Amino acid sequence: MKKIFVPIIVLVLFAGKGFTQFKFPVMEKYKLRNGLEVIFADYGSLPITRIEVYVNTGKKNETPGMQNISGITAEAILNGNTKWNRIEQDNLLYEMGSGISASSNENYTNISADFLNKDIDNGMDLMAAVLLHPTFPKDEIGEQIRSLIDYNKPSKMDIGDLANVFSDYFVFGVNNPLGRYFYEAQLSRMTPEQIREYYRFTFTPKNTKLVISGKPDREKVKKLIEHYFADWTAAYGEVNGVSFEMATIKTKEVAFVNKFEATQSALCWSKKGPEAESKDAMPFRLANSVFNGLLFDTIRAKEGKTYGIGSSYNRHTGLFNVTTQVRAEVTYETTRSFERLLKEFYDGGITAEQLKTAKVKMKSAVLAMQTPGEFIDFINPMEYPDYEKRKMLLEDIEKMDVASVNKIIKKYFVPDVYKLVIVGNEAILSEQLEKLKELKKIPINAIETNGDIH
Amino acid sequence: MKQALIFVFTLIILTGVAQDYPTNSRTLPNGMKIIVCEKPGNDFVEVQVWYRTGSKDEVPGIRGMAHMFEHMMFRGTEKYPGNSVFKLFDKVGAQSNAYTTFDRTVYHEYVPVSALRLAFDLESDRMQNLRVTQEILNSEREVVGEELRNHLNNWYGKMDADRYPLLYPTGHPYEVNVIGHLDEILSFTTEQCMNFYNNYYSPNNAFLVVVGNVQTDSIFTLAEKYFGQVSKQLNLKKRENVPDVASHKLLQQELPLDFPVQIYSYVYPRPAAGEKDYYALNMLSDLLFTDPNSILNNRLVKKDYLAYSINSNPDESSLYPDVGVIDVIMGAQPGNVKVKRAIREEINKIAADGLPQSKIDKYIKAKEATHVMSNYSAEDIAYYFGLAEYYFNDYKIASKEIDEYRKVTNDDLKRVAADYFSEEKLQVINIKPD
Repeated sequence: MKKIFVPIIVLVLFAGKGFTQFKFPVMEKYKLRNGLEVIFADYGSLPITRIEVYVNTGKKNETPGMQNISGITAEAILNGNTKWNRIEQDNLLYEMGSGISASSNENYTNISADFLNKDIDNGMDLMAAVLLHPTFPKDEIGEQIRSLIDYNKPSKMDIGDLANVFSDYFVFGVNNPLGRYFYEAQLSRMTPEQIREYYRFTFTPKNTKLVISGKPDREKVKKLIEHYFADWTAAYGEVNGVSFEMATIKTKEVAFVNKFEATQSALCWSKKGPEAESKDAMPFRLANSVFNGLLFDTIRAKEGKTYGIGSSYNRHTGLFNVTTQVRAEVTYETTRSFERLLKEFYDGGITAEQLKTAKVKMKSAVLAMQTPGEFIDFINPMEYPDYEKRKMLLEDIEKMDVASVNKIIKKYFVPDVYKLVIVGNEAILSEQLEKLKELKKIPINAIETNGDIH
Repeated sequence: MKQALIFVFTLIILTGVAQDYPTNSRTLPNGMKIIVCEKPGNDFVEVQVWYRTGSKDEVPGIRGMAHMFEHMMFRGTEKYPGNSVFKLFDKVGAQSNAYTTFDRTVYHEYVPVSALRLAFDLESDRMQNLRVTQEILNSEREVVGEELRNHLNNWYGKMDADRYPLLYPTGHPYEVNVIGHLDEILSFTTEQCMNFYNNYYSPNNAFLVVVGNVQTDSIFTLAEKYFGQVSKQLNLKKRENVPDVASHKLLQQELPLDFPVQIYSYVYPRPAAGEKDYYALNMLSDLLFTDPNSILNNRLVKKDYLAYSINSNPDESSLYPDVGVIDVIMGAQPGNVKVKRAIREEINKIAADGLPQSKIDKYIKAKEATHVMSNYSAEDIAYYFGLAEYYFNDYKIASKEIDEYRKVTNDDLKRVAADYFSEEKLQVINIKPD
């Protein structure tokens, strides 16, 4: 009897239970009188409030000579403010079991923290001080720049990092902010006053969105926001309209950077994908998910060439990059494997079964969210300004069919149209490099001199 | 009859409120413990199978086998050959992975509730039916070799590899780093792999943690169905006569570095999890070195700008007495000896006077807040349960551990500072560019 009983129970509890519909919270959005946009979107059941600030400034705003000023400023606003120096601020955060993180990308800067609801008064006070009243102390900035220089000398950097840096350099060129990288002589000239000026120009209420999630006491948090942020004024008040020129890739080009003593090679292929808001974006992402699986199955699992390989799509640049690190001896073979895979994918497209798996994986990424931070990433107002449209993501995924995805593969996964950067040890690779036609060599110090590609 | 008696005995359900959700456990007749936490939220479940094996179980010639084996566990059985584990998890939208440490190998997946049976089936199948073929081993050895080379092509990873042989006395279970030796990895045989599997993978050398939107009874039923039929039994014991790390003298105090920074690596003995001074020493090293607002972070990094950062390995638990390593990273420049002096000065101060009670109180308060925040992630909750079950044989410790920290007194901190951080026991390796 027991043996029969057990499977019945199991069947009742688990049979046929698929994904339930994701319940999106109602979003409340309003603007303070200074133009700061405030967004509330509750998520989760714990007594925690998540605060995220998005400032519309990033690498796109970096003028020649000001490389990485967006990243330095993001970090530097955590170095102390008119209310607390860095040590006092960090002590307060520590006591609340919290921490603030700040970072920037091509398009925007993000500052975020979680606070227990019981600590929200102090938390909001602290976030406001960090965002509105940073002091940019000279000594702290100096130390920050010194460590950046020490950790980012091209001759000492990891080959994977170098491949990414030189890929941007190769794809965008030095006339595009995305193609320029920071270096010692340039960073050494950067002054706290320049950072302050950059901050004053870009960190403005009209240029900023404040997102609250978790399970906040909404009315209380609204009052706190009004108290701390409504009187925020800025010398420059307009929305940042700067953008960067998208890259064009029309042929196959391969560049090489010599990294002395490397025992591996890092490879980074860049291809043009769709613009983030275009109709092509959804079928492209599904296609790329399948392509990722093929890269893993072939180059890692079957051929054992690498520990990791992946194709990632950057919605800011509209590019997708395949990156990997392999032992030096198989560098050329890896380029051949990639080309073969790309051609097979282009010629053969995907099957209904592959599309089904890609859809499930993409939907799971939404359905598996747990934290308010993950939810804010999902509704990120800088990337997805239309929440109602974003809410339709699961339905939009489901609408995709094999034909529409295969059409996109023919458009974006065209063989022999990519830019590839290889970073490795020329002394080991010379014979393999000879097999690569019209190889361009980029000196490792090119990013420090904005030098030409030979 | 004998079997029935065992079953009745193990049906006694151990209930606790570890973390903050209802949590229960049951031990199957084959010795495998099942821990279930009913965490509300989405329709996904974290499933973790913890094996009590890691690099501690390796011997010369098979260094790196525990980690290699973690990879092989994704490479097929009779029923699910090749890459089936990855493929099947992909099909249902699950994320799966694994990791290996000195002490443990943990397989974890975040799966939709609807795919729980699949997860249990795959895990129980690879617990007993793994098939290692030469062809798959050949490619996976290269994959693991690349993982190691990635580590060596990173300046910090290379430094870590160069430093590691200095840290432990010969014969200590942790004397070789988890990743192992490249030459040995590249020549592993299928026989060596299967020997490791046969010697260390069994239900009574493992336990299961399930956290998510599930019902405890249904999980127990599923576990009984899938894991209950795995009959393999191993009689594994903790090693005795482990060489003493406290009296181990570093073979070298200097190392060259091919990177433009200087590192003082502070090396000190650490008790095994739960042993005397375990909590006091954890608290002291956090407060002195590693917390974001630690005494030395505030002084050396934020106030005097003498160091860029202070780093340490966050996993504090170990089965055997271990060594702690804390890296103080500075610009490579003359005058860094000031850093050493400052560190010694702060240690001596604590050894003599202790710490302000307010600092200890804030430490506890921060731990309480962190505990609440860790309740969001099913993976984190399963991890804390797993650590507690592994090292204390009681998953409920996960929510009680803070009480142990509350018991630490200022006198404990003074004593521990004077002992573990004495000039004799706290050794320093000076790592800098040639």
